[in-house]
Amino acid sequence: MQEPKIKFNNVTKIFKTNRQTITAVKDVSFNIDEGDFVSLIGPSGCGKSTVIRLLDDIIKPTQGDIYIDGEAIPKRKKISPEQIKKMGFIFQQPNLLPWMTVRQNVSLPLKVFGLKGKKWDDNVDRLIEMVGMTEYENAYPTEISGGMVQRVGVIRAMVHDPEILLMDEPFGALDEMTREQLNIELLDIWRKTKKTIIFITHNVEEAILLSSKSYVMGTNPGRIVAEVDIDLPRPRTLDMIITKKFIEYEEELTNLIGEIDLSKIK
Amino acid sequence: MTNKKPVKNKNKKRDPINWIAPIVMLVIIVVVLEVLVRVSGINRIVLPTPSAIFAFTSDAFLADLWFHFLYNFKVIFVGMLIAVTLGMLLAAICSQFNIVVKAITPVVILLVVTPMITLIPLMQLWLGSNPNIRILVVMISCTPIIMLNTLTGFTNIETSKLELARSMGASKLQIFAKVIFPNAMPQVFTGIKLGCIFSTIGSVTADFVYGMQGLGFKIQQYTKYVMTEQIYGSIILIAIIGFLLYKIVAMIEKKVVIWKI
Amino acid sequence: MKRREKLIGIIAPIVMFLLLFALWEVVLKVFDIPRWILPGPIAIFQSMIVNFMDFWPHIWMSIVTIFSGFAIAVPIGIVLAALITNYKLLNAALDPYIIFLVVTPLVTLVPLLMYFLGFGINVRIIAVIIQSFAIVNMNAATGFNNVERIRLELMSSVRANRLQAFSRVIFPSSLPDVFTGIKLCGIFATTACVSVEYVGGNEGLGSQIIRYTQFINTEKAFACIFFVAIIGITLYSLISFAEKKIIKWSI
Repeated sequence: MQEPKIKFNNVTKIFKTNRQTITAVKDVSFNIDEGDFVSLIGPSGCGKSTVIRLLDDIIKPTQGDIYIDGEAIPKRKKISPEQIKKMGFIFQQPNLLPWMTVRQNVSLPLKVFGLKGKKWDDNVDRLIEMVGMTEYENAYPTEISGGMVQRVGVIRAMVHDPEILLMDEPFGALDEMTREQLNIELLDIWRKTKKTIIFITHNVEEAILLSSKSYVMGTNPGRIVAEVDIDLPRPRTLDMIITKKFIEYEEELTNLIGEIDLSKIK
Repeated sequence: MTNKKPVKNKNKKRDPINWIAPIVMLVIIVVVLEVLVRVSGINRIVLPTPSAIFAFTSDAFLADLWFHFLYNFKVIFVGMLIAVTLGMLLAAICSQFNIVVKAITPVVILLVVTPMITLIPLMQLWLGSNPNIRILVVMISCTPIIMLNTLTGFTNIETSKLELARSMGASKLQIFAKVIFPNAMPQVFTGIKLGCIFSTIGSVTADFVYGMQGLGFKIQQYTKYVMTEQIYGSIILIAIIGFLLYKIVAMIEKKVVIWKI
Repeated sequence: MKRREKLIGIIAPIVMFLLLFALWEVVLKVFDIPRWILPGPIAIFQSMIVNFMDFWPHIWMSIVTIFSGFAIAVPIGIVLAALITNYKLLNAALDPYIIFLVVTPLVTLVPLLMYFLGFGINVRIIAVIIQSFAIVNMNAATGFNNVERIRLELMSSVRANRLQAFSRVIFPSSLPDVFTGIKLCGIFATTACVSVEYVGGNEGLGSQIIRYTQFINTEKAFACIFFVAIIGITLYSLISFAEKKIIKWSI
């Protein structure tokens, strides 16, 4: 049995502020294998953003262990450069640095990780071309549209060739059409590169379209409520959305989330 | 695949009206004043004609006024250079520790709000009559405001940008150089522009109190000898120094803060 | 706990200042600095209290000068900014001259003003107004101009006239910028008052600073400086307080 790529072992995160104590996630455990495309869905406040931030060492767990390729993330020290290089994080809010051009923004991880040389420069060119932004590579974030900003955010997270992509509702702020387009582009990228992807969304349709497995999370406290295998054929296409099986999955997941919502009201 | 709205319109105010209108305004004012003053027969002691001001001041400038003009310019320029360096350095150091920021901000605000020119007479008492003291005066006049604005700039940063840096495992130095520092630039430049104003005030006030050199001192002299044209002329010269400084800073700002249209 | 945070926000600066004053006294003792060069804070505070009746007429004079000048400069600056930003041509024509006004130290105008108007307090108040209105103008104008887009949309969709558009949308949205201008105006007014009092007459704290320094009465000179600081910080705090109340209101 191969070692899982990512392993969460009874992870708990408690936030303490002056006013209150919040248990963001409690006793979260799961394994993700290499090359999996996994989604995290659930109502707001269920801790999905917390989970991937814990994985990317943006915050530290209060209890429990997190393993990447069998190696644990240190609990007190900062994560090791080798481990962090394996991951690319794509944020919900367009998070480009406004004082850098598109190209400079995309190259930022390379500068931070100290990756130099033609191979990496070519990577930058290739990725910019892949999302059709070559014309705008010297434009500033304030000069390009929302969809473009999001595309730049995606390729920035990929420029250092990470094995794992962590995506926090990356297409949430976009309109329907752009989002569908980007979903297809993402599936294409995944097919070609075989990266391990964790995708957070509150959009059930998106989750089913993209992922092979969906973890449903609940609130109070944030935890994993259900694990649903999405057994639809690949490659996935947009017209699958109206098939019977797809709709059944939609109902199942929506119900699961609905139960959580109802239980909140009770 | 169609890309929607490509590059947004860079609505830069390159409208020619922005430099034509002020010049036209100036010409109109000068002409109107010239006519009014001549016609109304106002005493030249109170308000001389613009042409007289220009004539007398040019004479004075070629004689010895240029020396005082350059003196003020040098004092202000050097004083500001030191103040900007010092102010930003202090702010950079203080911003590293949250406790220090909380403790020192009220002190800096107090220094901003209390006119540093109150120390001018005492400085003469402490340090004598060296003309270079005025550089020190300029320095203390503008360092607090530069430091305050820089400190605000360094500490006001969006969490999302810091998260971005952490997601790349960036070191503290990398975060400061690539994220915190550029992010603070707009605020820093506002502080420097205000610093220009305070330093001009400081320099001229020092001239008045210490005498001997500088355009402020010359104004006092001209007042004694009722040379009103030169008084107005000197005031205009001081305004020019301040304006030049301000515009230089604004120009540098446009080059550095490229992303704020 | 918001209350606890507020309390820390008040206590921490006080502690800081006490520490600084203590440090000041220690430095004086350690380096054996003579009192006529630099008196200690305790001596200064003593002087402030003991000689208060001597200082008072000048303190009052400065307060009146600063506050009157400030109170007149602020509305002038705002109204002017409102007028200028509404007419594009005027805006373009006057913009560089506003900078000139901001940048020129009014000390230079004082001798001239004294020709026309003599030595009284009114001259000084006028001088303060001239020095301070321009910065309010500049900041208010920035605030009003930055609301441009909203104004155009509003005006076209609702057919509101200029006055309505201004009072209901532009002015409230620009309040942060306007208040920055007002705070700076307060600082400029205090500075202007001191510099005018340096140059003209023997009334007001500025004149006393010069006088006491000439007589090497450093304690009293510092006492005057401290009084100016107190006036400055009071004005600033009043403005900040008003800002918090008004902005909460209009949002």
